[in-house]
Amino acid sequence: MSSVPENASRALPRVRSDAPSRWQWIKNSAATFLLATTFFACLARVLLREKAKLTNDKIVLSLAHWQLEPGVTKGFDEMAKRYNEVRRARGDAEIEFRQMPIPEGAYGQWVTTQLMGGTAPDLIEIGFLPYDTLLRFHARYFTPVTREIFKPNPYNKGTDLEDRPWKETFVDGLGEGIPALQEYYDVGLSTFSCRMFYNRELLKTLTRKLVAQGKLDKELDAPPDNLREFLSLCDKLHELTDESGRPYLPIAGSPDRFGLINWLTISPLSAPVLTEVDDNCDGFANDTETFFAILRNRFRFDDPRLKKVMAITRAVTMRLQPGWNSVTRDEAVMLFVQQRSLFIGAGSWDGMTLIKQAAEAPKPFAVDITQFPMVYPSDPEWGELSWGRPYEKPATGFSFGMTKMSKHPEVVLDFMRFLTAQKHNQEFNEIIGWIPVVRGAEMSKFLQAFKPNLHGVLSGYSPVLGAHTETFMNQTNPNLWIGEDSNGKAFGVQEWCDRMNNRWLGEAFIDFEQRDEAYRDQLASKETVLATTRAKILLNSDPQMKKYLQQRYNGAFDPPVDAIRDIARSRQLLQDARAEARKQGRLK
Amino acid sequence: MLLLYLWNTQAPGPEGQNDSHCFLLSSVDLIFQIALPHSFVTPTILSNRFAWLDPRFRSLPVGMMSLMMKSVHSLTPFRIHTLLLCTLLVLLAGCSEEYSGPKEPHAAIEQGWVLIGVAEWDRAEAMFQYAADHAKAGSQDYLHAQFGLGNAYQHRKPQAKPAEALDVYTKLAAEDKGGEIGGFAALSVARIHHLKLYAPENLDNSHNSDSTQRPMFTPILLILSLFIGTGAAYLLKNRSKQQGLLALATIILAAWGIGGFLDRQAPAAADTTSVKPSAPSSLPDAAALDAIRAEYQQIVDGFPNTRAAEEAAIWIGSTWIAQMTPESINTGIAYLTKWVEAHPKSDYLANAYHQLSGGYEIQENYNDDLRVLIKWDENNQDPTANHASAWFRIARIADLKVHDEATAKAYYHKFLDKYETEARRFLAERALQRLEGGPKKEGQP
Amino acid sequence: MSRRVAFKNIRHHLSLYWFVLPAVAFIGTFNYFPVINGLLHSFYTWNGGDVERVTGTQNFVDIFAYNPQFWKSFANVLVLGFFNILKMIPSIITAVCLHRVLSERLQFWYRVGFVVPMVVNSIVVVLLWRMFFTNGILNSLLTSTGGMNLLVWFSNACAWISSTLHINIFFAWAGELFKPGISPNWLGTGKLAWLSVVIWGFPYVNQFGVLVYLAVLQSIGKDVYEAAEVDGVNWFSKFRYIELPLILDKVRLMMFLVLLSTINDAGSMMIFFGLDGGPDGVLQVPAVFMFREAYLSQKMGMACAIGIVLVVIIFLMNKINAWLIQPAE
Repeated sequence: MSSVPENASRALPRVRSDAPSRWQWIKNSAATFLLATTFFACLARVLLREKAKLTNDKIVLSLAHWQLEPGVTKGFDEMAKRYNEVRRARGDAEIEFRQMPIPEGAYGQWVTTQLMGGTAPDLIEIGFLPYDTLLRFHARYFTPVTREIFKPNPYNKGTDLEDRPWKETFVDGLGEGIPALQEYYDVGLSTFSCRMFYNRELLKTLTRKLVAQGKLDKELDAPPDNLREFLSLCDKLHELTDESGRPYLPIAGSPDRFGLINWLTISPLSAPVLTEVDDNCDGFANDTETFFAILRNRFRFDDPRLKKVMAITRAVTMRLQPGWNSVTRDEAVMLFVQQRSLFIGAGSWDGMTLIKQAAEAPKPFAVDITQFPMVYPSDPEWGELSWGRPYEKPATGFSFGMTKMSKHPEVVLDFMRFLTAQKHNQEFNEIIGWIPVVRGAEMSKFLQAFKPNLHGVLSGYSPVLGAHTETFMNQTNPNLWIGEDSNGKAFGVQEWCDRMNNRWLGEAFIDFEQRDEAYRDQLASKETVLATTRAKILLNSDPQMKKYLQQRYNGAFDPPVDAIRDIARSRQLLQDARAEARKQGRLK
Repeated sequence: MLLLYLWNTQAPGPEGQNDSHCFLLSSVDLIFQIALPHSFVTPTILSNRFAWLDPRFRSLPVGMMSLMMKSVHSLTPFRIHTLLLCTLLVLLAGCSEEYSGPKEPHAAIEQGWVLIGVAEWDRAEAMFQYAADHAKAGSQDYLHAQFGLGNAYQHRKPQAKPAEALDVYTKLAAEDKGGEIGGFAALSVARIHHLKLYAPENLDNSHNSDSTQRPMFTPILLILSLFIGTGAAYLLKNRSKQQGLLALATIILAAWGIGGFLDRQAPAAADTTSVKPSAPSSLPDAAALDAIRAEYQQIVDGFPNTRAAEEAAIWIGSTWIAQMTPESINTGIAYLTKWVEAHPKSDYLANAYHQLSGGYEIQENYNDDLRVLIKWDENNQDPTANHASAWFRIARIADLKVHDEATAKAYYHKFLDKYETEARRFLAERALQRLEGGPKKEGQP
Repeated sequence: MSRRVAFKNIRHHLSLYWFVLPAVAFIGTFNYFPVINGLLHSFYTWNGGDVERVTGTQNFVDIFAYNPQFWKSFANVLVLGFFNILKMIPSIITAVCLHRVLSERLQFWYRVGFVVPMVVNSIVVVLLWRMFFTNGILNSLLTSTGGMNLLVWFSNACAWISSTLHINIFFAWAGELFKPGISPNWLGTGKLAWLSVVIWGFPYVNQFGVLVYLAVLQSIGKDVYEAAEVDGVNWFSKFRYIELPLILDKVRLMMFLVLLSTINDAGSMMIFFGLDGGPDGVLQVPAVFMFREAYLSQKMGMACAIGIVLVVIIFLMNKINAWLIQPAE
């Protein structure tokens, strides 16, 4: 072993030949300077502020969102102006309104750092964060509005919503709030829906040609509402060619765009099977019920009704352009904008962009909006499946939560009530071009076609239990869509039914077990929710508040008790159903 | 940007922290904003991993991670390492001031519960510990502090401290005999024991047994053969490369063959649903549930006229039902029926009816189910309750199972009148048209 | 023999250690900590959040015993790896051609030409190929150049061979690939999806590989070539006996890197097919499988275990590869 001489490093000659120039030194230190300047500026600011109490009476109300469209920022500014007018009339101090539009890509990160640092604005648009994170953030940084949501909104005075609790003035009644936290936090400002967009001029031109060829009775300026007629029109349109000799591809599809057709045209057709699946009579066919219905042989994938639904699926997917199942949503838009396709599904959120793209295309054209076609009850083959148009859940979107950092929570709450009053919500959405979320608020003429159908049908079964069944369905369904499997063999409705009957249950068993495990893990969390409410009751001295909390506690007491019974019941059901299935020879 | 951050520093902290950390974090944020003007990956999911850190320090690792995720080195002219080291120094220098909780025990207890609500377990524990140390022994605050401490131990995630919690609760139940806090402490002990019976660890490990996924011998043997084969090949390499290769190939092929043979012997082909002979229920046995019920009964007896005793009674009834034998369900229903008769004014009446309904539903006794569901709904005092599901279910059970048209119609109407945009309106209307006659409206485009 | 430094001497080099410290801290935090954390969590049932339970080797048992999907994905990646190794050949040819360019100036510009595309992110390249497959560019190209007819003819020929000569191994597969009048759905059908992931990246000239080979080739002196020419050695023999032995070491390295990247590659497969592994799941690869366990099933512990199994398998492959390709002693 040898050791390094003690003075070895000192013996190294000090080389100064490449010493940096002054300019280089400044360049290298710029970042440190910037940091130091910021730090000291912040320090000075805080110290100064701690000394002098805020003497400025002006209330600042800040709001962050990721909607960079000029319409939205304009809408907020305009509403803040009108809100100030109301405040002035009431004799209240005016507010100073500040909004922070943050780009989508950075939004989640920005919100996280602002909330954690305690520097968040009063109102934050909810989104771009994973659900778990949102849950924690809500508990930690947002103020619940549960008490207020059950009182009427004063800004609805003089309307039919005057006496209604604020919650019930929303089209969806704000759902259950955040069930895991037993509180309501977020209030939405708009809602969204999807429709079919079509190229009216092209449709007229092409149907005129078809009339001339004797293939159609009359020229059309809107697609037929009856699915069978619509599909037949698509076939005829496909026979026509454009200037470069390519056949028209009537419907522009991508998995996303087809998802809209599937949701609004096809999925409601499975409603009739609800009777077999809905075991607990709650009107919904949930995934667990579907699992047990299949395991207990009360429902099968080769049910004649379901087979028809799948046949309709195939009939629709056949009319989409070749290769549609591997293109992106924008590539589908391209087909529509290039006028190679006549129809495309789109949402109210991207409808405006689509219309703009069409107007700016090399060959500009106007876009019209209509309902997705539906199967008519009079249809000879499919009619029995048609219970009506689908129910379009009016989910409140564009939701905002009030942060605990807010210095004037009462003003923020008042502003939210103002924005969600019938009249003001209508005005606001008119400016931004979206659908109002408050009942009775009218939407602009353009958006009339998007009016969600709140009187409709839901799907009658739900085959996705968890990750395994989801992946299995995602791998199996495309075979039906394109009509062949991965070996190039024909894959039709019967093949779909066989594959589902043979393999779905296997995947569902895994998902069921994983979910059982997750349910058991969640038991502790349910207990925590109960414990915190209980503590509030124990520590509260106001009898009225105590009573209110006690009532809510009793409301929250059922889920943890039910959870244990549900775990036991589903286990028992599973065991019994297996035994039964084995006896019948359905399971080996 | 600077101005924005200066302005941001005005906001006070959410949990009563002083302002000093705000400007520090603002400085950190500033750096991130400068360094990452166009970020695509949000590192917010990472923030959960740092929940154990004091909130003042939390954004630092998250930010650092986000920097690494975006490999800013190639994107920005700033010297990131210098910046981060400076930031670290700044942060440590600026945060020397210790956070101190409320000095008054009662306030500390309240703060402790706020902290439990936001999953700040360590700080909650510290609050309750402080309150317990500073409250007069035997006083109400002392009991509350101990109870809070037990809860902080019990509910801590991801790693709870059940032993510590049980210790605190047991002592508390003995100290506050017959009292409200003592009752809830005793109930918490029973709850911990009860939940343990349903912990995921009790799930049978053969949980994939019913799936199409069965043991695959081929891959296991192949991997094993790769290990052995590599060894063999190494041993032979000095003699002859060809021999080594041959040895490797032989071992792999043999593994493939044997694995394939064993796979073919396995009970099912890959494309059919197979079931192994035994299917364990993964549920606690009767003896374990009897022990739990005895614990609940001790609370009913030892803490009469407390809410804990009422809750314990509901738990006894529901435990009988969750035992899932026809006899136990009957016992549970009888127990709860007797209880609701004896406690007509209890706050927990609706809860008892709800559990009764659960029992009848399992028995498929829809007549009684309908009766108790109506009782449940009538006694539900929760001002935030959404009655849509209850009303629809009552109507539907009355309609399809009990054939009680009057009740069905009444509840369908009630449901339709109150819930104008509910998803099940269509079904309700369809049913009403069937029950009340008239032209069918649905299905018409 | 390594030298040991007495601890008391360290203080004399303290400044040097201080210089190293940030790098060590960063590598430790961002490279080693996640790996150790992953290893630890592979023995847990962990959802990445509030559920964290020790389950011992359960995750590994699940992977080995009950997961045919995983092993299927592994078979896929081996086949892909084989094709990716074949795709190394153009790089070698390019490097040799470049090396033989006589004009130094021209050679310089060629080299520059190869380096410049390296700044394009590989994800962008995959996205471009995806577009190429999906928005009809490839199909238009094939149709306009007559390539489509050729493919259909080839397909028909294969079908004929398969049906008349009963040779099914490849011909039955290729026989139904292209049909007249039907535009191929490159990423949307099982067989074509396979073909797509094999052909993407044409002309397969890996710039990094070319530069590595070129660097080695340039160490060959002119005199060697001159001597070879005097002996009348032809162009191929020059490659076989002079150039190839020299670059073989690097080829081995590149082969390992290619295999490694194939096994680790989740990005391109997810861009092409998403998390479902393509039509009917035919192109599921282990890395995507891992992602699915982590983000779809929320089984982070299982995902960690898959990661560990992959590491072990890669390690084994490295050993085999090192031995098979090492030059004879």
